[in-house]
Amino acid sequence: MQTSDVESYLSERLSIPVSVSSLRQTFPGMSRETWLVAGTYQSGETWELVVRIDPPSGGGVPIPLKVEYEVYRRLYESPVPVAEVLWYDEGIEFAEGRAHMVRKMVEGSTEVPGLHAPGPEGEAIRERTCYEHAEKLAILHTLDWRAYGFDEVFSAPASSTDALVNEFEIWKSYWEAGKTDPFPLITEALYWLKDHIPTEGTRISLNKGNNGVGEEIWKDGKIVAMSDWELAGLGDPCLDWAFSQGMLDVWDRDKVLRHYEHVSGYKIVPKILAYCEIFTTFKAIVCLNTTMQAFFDRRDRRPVISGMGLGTVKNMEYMLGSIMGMDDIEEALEVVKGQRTSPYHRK
Amino acid sequence: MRPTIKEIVDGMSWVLDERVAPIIEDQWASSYLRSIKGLLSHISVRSELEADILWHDIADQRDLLDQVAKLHSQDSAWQSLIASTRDALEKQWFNSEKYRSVADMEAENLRYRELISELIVAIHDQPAGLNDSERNALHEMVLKYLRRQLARERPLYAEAFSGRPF
Repeated sequence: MQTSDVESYLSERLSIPVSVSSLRQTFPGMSRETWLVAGTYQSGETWELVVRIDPPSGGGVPIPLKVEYEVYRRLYESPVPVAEVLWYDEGIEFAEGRAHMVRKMVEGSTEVPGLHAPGPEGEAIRERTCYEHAEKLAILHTLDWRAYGFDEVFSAPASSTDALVNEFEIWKSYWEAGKTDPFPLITEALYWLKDHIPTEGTRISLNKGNNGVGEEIWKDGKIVAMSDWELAGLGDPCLDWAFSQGMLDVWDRDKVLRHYEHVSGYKIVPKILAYCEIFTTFKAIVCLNTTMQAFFDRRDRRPVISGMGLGTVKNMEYMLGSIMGMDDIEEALEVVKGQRTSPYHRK
Repeated sequence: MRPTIKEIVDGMSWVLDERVAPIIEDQWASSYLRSIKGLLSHISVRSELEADILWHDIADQRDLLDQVAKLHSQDSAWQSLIASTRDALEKQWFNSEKYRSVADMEAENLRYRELISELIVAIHDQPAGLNDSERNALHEMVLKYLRRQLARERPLYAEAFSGRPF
């Protein structure tokens, strides 16, 4: 994006001349582009905005940006901390017609200083960070999602016993619509995943999708805004813990989950969490592989698209292949964990 | 021909590691470099193993699909799958007087992957099309084939795409 393009677009959209003094794309951010824009009005007053844009591939997730915008819009008036979203648009001259939304900047960082520091000081930071994360997830998961209209945004499970059945069917349909190869092993794995869906003890909550350090806006040890709702949906809250980017391995996993249970009033069922962790591997496969269609038709030729769409997917396929025939979900998860090489997961 | 594709690619990978990566400060450029490094590592292995893997996989797939071609079923979905399998196995996939290219093998392999995927769906979704012992035996053969293929392909991906993905 060019500064001049952003300047003229914002001036037109805000109906007031603005000048852009800085424009920077955040790193990382593979599924969608996030641009931090700062500038001044003619009066000299400063402003800061965030522009979130679909990449040329159309997005690294199968959920449209419009849906993410609707999540922000509904949550802004809720107890869940999010940035104020201003508008959504697509198909216009700006950003080559790509879908985008604009929100206000929230002061903070996606990283937590000292999180990996050694010794008691580091331990204290890790404890506080994990508890804060658990508390914010508890606020999200206990939100009355119907009252905020999320059943109009997402397909809602018919009942709490269907919380993961619904999730399975949604992601299976994304896979069938966008996979780049027949993937017979994953065809078989889908039957394993279906046969092992927990239906007892599940519940329905609004979930964020990928979450944790690196995903939220932190300031002074607190989450001031939960950010990037690209994988949000309605399902069992364990889905969020399963996609918490390694947060359960940052400090004492059991204590963190007990704290979450205390704050939310929800019981974490190990079998459900284990299933969700395995299912997250499939969700990642869906996101990474279906995005590769854009590599084939040359909309997005970045090497990361082909590398992850092929190689990372094949490594994850191997993980799923390793558990075919196993019946105990928690044992199966241990097998999957033993093969992970991502830096998100400590061995 | 020397240097081989592997030698050339390994040299490119070395220079990116030793001469380029240390002086790149931009996060996105470093990320692209990590992705390229993984892909070069993959190409290095693939240049030497892909043809062999495909050749063995095709032979393995045909053994499995031969069992499907021999089946008889009153179920229309199974009948359709069996007919498609027989057609695929009888098709002349390459000209025996010419070198068999990787692209030719990939085309044959892809068709068999499609059929094996359809076979898995039939085993689970149309169980009444075969008797229990026939279906269970076939399912066991499919699982064994899938494990063999995963093991065969493993060298192409395991190391190249481990670690930080972007």
